[in-house]
Amino acid sequence: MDLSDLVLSPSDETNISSAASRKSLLESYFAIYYFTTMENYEIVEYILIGFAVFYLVFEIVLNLNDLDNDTSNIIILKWAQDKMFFLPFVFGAIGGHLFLGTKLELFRYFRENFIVPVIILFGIALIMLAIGYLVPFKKTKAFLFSLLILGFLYGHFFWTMNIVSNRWT
Amino acid sequence: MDVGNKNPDNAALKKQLRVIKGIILGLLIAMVAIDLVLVFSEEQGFPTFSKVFLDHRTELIWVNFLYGGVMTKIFWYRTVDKPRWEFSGFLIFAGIVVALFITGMLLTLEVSTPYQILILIGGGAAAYAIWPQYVPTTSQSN
Repeated sequence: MDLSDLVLSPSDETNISSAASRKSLLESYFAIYYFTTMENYEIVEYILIGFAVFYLVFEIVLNLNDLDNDTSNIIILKWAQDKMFFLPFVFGAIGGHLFLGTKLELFRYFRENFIVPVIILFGIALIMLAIGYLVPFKKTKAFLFSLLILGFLYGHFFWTMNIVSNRWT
Repeated sequence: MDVGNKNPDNAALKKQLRVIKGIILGLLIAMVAIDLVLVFSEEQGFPTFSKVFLDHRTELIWVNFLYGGVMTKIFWYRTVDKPRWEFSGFLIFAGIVVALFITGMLLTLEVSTPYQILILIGGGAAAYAIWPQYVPTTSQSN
């Protein structure tokens, strides 16, 4: 480096000016992006709230109507006792995924390749559905509850997302 | 001979039940489908349902408790033959959920996984103890 590199030339001033303008554009772009991201985040939150409110209202209507044994919990139990005994396993896996999770090194592969446990879960559910249709057998309360616990363990260990959220860092 | 066709009330009830089952199935499928769309829209800034839960685990301890309770109510149920027992149990359970909702909003520290497990099991135990499933003695056909 020689002295001439440290002296500003007119072209350098133009470059600085355009750099500042670029910076300003970049900032506004990020501001817009941030705003858009927040909006999109809120849209998903509202979708979740919408599902929750719909489920709540629907469940109240089912409780108050003339039909007995038609609440969602009874219907889901009957489906599970019939052919869809994969339901407790899948519900357990979803619960374990959303509320639990592990940081154990042993399960790092699954944490970093989140699509793998989803595909495995989908495969397990399909196999269970096929068994449900092909091999009729009695699904006891203990059997279904065991599947629920196994599902929670699957969600906790394999379909884990217990990375620290950006909110807490 | 189709008995349902001879009894209009029975046929109407069966139709009503089919609609209810369709709505529940539709709701489950819609949640999975929307989450799949969100997975492929993450670059546009849409978080998945999982991400929203991960970011709000502390505020959502009430959902964790409720989830444990509902899962127990479905798969490890205790039955009663009087609807008021289920209703009074539901009110007590709902009261705990509201208390957890307020607690979650007030907490400023992240509720870690061991405590989340306790909340989940607590929800299940509470549902089993206080929120039984009403089953009428003369059950209608499904």
